[in-house]
Amino acid sequence: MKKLITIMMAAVMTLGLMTGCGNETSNSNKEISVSETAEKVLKSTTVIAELVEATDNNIDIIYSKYNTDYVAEYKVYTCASKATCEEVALFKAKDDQSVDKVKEMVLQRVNDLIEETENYNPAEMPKLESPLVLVKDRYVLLVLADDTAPAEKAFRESFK
Amino acid sequence: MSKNRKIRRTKKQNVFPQFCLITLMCLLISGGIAYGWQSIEDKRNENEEQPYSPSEHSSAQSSNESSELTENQSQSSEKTESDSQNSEDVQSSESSEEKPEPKKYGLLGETERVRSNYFDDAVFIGDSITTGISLYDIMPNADVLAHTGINLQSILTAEVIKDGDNEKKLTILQALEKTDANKIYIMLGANGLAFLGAEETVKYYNMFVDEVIKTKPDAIIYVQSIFPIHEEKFTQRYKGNLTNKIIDETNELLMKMCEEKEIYYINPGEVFKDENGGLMSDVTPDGLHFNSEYYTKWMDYLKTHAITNK
Repeated sequence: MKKLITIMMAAVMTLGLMTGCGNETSNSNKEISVSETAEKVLKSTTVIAELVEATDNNIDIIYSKYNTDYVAEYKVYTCASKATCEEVALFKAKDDQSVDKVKEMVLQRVNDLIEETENYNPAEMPKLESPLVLVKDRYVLLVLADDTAPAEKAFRESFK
Repeated sequence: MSKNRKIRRTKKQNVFPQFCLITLMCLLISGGIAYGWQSIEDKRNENEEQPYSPSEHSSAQSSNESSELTENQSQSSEKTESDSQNSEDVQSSESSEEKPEPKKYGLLGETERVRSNYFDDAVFIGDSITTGISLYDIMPNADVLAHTGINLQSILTAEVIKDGDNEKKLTILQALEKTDANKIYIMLGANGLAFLGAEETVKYYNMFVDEVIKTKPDAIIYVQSIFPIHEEKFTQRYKGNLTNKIIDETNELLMKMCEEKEIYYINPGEVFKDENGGLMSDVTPDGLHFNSEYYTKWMDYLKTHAITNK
């Protein structure tokens, strides 16, 4: 029963995210530095836990659908201690066709976190219920924090 | 003319009764003196034996102690003889062939430091705290079979470990079976301890460890202590009744469990404790999980508490 509720919740949230996350229609084709932008977004975001950079050794553990076939570059700051669900992640897709795959991978990450967090650490659920997922050109951003507005601003400013 | 002298003869007296009387008196007097002398001697001897026991009770006690002491002394002398015998045996066996030291299970003290490659064939099993080993990328050569929220009641059945590209996930034991693990580090118990309590937690721990031994009978198995928590932050975040007192009690039972199962118990939690016996406030946002600095400490502890020859 619990599993069914989890699946339903995940499905509802995925639908919500698909409709709610920001897909930029205008294509600026501006190249940005993934590392610099992710760092700027991180600096703008208030987090309570220590976030550390994901590496090639663990990126596929964190993002269960990670695949180098469609991810060209990434910078992920995650709460490795698992004290919170806070995360700042920026991915660059290999090409325009891979953008949806990258977005799917990011949404899967949110669902995975919901599954392991809802019973274990419910205090973290608000971050997962309103994640910031932004897609701009070939870049996909995920921010999990109490207040994601400054992160969104920082990300958009990178394209100006 | 002869003169008849009249010889006056005294009448013979019977002195026998007097002699008997005098002899009897002498005997009585000498007997009395002897008795008196003996009594004085006895008293003097008693005093010499128990100089510090004025009362009758304590004198008896002292007498017992004295006999016990004698017994111990005799045991001690026997032991010394036996020791010297053993020592001779050891010397003779050492000279004939070198035997490995007897294995000691349970609590493992500090050992010679091992290098990181010791963990090439190591597997870490646990919950969210153990997932941090891979997320901090602190021991990349080791396998980590861990899942956030897993507890001792769910670990045998929960399918939580990714199996390559397969959609279906594996249980931790199924995943363990697929590894070439020669060293297995287990840390469980923090999840569920608040509602299970120490004894029930260790009961489930026993069942899990039995399964691990069945799965990898030749591996060196380390059960790690449950880490201390910051009680105030923990209660605020998880609303549970977990305390460091319960954690310490559980760890004691885990240590005994390891002795019985002839596996190793290591206590990295000891380096995590502050002066109050809890986790330091500034290293944990939620009272349970801790930052990278403490993961480094943890791995450092494992390197100095390692068995190199099973």
